[in-house]
Amino acid sequence: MNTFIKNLLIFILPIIFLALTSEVLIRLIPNDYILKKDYLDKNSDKIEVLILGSSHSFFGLNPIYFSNNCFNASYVSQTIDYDLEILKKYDNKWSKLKTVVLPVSYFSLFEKLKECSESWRVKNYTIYYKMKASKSFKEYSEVLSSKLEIIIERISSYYIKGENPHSSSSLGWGNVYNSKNGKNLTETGKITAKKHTYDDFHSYPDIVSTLQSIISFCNKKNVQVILFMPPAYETYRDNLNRAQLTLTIQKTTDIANSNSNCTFINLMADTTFKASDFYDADHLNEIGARKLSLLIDSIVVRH
Amino acid sequence: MSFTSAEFIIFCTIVFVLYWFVTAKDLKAQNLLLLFASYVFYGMWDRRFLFLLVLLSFANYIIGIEIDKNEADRKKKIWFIIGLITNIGVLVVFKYYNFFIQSFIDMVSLFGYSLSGSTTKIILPVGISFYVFLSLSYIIDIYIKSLRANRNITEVLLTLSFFPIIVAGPIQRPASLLGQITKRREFNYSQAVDGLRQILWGMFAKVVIADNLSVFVDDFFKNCAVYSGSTLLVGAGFYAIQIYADFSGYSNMAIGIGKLFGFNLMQNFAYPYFSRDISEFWRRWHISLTSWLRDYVFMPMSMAFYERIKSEKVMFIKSNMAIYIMTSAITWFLTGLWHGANYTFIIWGMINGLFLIVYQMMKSPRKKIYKLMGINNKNLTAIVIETIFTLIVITIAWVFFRSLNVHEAFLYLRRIFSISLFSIPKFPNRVAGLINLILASLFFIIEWIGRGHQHPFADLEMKLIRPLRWAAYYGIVITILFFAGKHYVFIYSQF
Repeated sequence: MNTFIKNLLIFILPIIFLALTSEVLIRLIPNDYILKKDYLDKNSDKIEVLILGSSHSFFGLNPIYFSNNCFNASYVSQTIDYDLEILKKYDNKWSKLKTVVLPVSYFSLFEKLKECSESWRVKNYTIYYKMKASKSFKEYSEVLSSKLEIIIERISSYYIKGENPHSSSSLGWGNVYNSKNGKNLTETGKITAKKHTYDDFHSYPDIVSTLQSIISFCNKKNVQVILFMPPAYETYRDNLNRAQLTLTIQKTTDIANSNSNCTFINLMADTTFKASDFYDADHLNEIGARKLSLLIDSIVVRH
Repeated sequence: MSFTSAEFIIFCTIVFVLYWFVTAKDLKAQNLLLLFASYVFYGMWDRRFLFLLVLLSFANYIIGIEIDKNEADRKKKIWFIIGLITNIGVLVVFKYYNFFIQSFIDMVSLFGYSLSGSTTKIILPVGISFYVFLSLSYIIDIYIKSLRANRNITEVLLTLSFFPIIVAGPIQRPASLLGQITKRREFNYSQAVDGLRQILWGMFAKVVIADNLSVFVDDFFKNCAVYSGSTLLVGAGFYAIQIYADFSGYSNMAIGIGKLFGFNLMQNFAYPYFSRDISEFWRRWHISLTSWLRDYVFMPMSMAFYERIKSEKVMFIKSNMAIYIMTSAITWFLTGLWHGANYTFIIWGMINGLFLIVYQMMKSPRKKIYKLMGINNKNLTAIVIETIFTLIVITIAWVFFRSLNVHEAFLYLRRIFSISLFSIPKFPNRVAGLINLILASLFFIIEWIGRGHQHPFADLEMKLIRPLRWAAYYGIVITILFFAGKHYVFIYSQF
C-alpha cells in the first residue's frame, strides 16, 4: 500500500503543481469579467442605464453614445438567467437606475448558458462575479473547466507575448469587432442561424419566467425595461426557423404589452442597418454599434 | 457525478482512503462504507430515485430469502413470480409505460379507430436497466439453486447497488460479485496499478475519442438532409467509433475502479471491432448483457422449444435451425427493447438478430465454398474481407441505434446510398475532423497491439521500462487534458 501511495503521489504531484500554478497565473490575468465586476462594485449606484444580454448587446451598444450614465454589463453568450443574477447581485445598489436595456435575440428564449456549447463560460460568473451559480466543482476552477490548449494559449499570450487580454472598453462595450476585419456575411449567416436554431424548446418556459422576473424586479424599483430584437443581416434572417422566430416575437410582444414598465422593439430587419454595419451576419461592428446605440438612446430618452 | 468529473475523483479518493486505511481490518465496516458510498454516488446522479433503488434491492433481499427457504415447489414459485413481477414491473413502469401506451394507440389507429390514451411524463431513473437485470439474475439464480440467498442485508444491498457498476454496468453475476463481497479483500499492488491503467485508458477513450467525435456525429445526424452520402457514411463510421469508445471507456473505468477496491469485475468488451463475423462480434461486445441474455433468455427458451418440438422439420426448416431462428428473434427483440423504448432500438436489435441468423444458415455453405475455392480459413485476404463486411453491417445497424426515430434512420440511410456516396466527404471543420481521425486511428492501433489482454495497457509493465511507461502515462494525461472537449454524458447511462 505504501509503495502504491508513494508512486501515485510522485506521479500526480507534478500534475497538481502545474495545475495550481496555471490556475493562479490565469486568475492573475485581467479579463472583461473582472473589469465589469469592478465597475459595478464601484459604480452601480451611479448607473442610470444598464445594458444586459449577450454578444448582440456587448458588441452592439456602446455606452459613450448614451445621454445618461450608462454601462454595458452584457457579455458573449450571457443568457437571461445570468442577466437576472447580475441585477440581483447589486439589488440594493441600483439607486439611480432608470432603464435596463436587454436584447431578445432569436435564440434568447431557448438558450441557457449552462446547457449550451458555451457552458465553459459558467466558471467566469462563479470565479469573477462570485455568483454561486453552479453546483459543479469544475466551474469554480479555470483549469478544470478549460482545455489545456486554451490554458496554454492564454498564459502565453499574456505573459510571453504581452497581448491585451481585454476585448471591451472601460464602459463594457465589446470593441474588437472592427469593420476592417469583418467576416463573410453569407457564410456566417448560414452557420450562425443553424447554430441558433433549437430543436426542442424545453428551456423556453423557464427562460420566459426569468425574463418576467427581470421585468418584475425592475418594476419594483420603478425601472423601465427596453427589450429589443437586434438587427441581423439578411443571410442570417433568411435561414432562421419561422416557428422559433415567431414564438420569440409573439411572446416578447405579449410580455411587453402586459407589463407597464416594458417596451419591445423589433429591429431585426431594420433598414437603417446596411451590410457595412455588420461584423458578421448577426453582430454589428463599431459603425453599426454607433447607429444602434443612438437609436436605443433615443428610445431611452423618450421613456 | 460522472466518472470523468472532478467531483468523482475527489469522491473516489475519499472512499479509497477510508476503505483501505480506516475500515481495512473489518469486512463489515468495509461493506457498509461501500454501500453508503454507492448510495451517495447514485444520489448524486439522481437523488429522486435513490429511494427506488434502495426499495427494490431490499425487496429482492426479502424475495431471495423467501425463495431459498421454501422447499415446497408452489410457495417457491409464487415468490419467484413475485420477484419477476416486481423487477420487470419497475422496468415497465419507468421505462416502457409511455411507449406501450403510444404504440397501442398507434396500432388501433391503423385500423381506423381513434383512441384517446394519456401518456404521462415519466423520468427514467439512471441505470434502471442495469440494476434491474442484476436483481433479476439474483432472483433467478436462487430459484434455480445456483446461488443460496444471502441473509446479510448489507452484502445483498451492496451486491445490487455497487457504485462502479450501478449506472451502466457491466452487469455482474450475483454469484461472482457476492462471492467477492463476502470475502475479506486484501490490498494488491499489481491489481490496483492495473486498475489505474485501465481507468486511464477508459478516460482516454471517453474524453478524447468519444466526446470529440460526438460533436461531428450530432451534426451529421441532425442535418443528414444536407450532407452528402460519403460524408454521412463517414458520420456513421464516426458513430460506430464513438459508441465503442464511450461504452468501452465507461466499462474500463468501472472495472478499473473495482480493482482499486480489490474487486475483479466482469470484462465487458473484448476488442469487438476486430471480429471476423457478427457472431464473434456479439461475443465480444457488451459481454455482460449478451451473456446475460444468452443464459437467462436464449438458453432456457431453446431448451423449452427442444422439449416441445419433436418433429425433424418445422415449416421445411430443420428443427434445430427453426428453434435457433425463433429464439434468436425473440432474444434480439428483447435486446433492442432493453436499450430503450423506441422502435429504432427494436429495429437495431432485429437487424442484428437477422444477420446472426443469416450467418448461422451460411456457415456450412461458406465452408463448402471455401473448400471448393481452395481457400484456407486462416487466409489473410478472407479474414480482412470478412472483418470489413462485419464492420459495414454493424455500422449500418448503428444508424438505427443513433437516430431519434425510424424516419430519420431511413432518411440517413437513403442519403448514404445515393449518388453522392461517390463524392469526396466534406467536414464542417476539416482540421478537427482530421485530428479526430488521427486520434481514432491511434486508439485502434493501441487496441490492436493490446488485444490479447483485458485492456491494452494490461501488460505495459512487461513491454516498457518504468521511465518509458511513465512517459506514456503522462502522454495520455496531457492528451486527455489537451483534447478534452465538451463533456457528454455516457451514452449507456441513459439506458
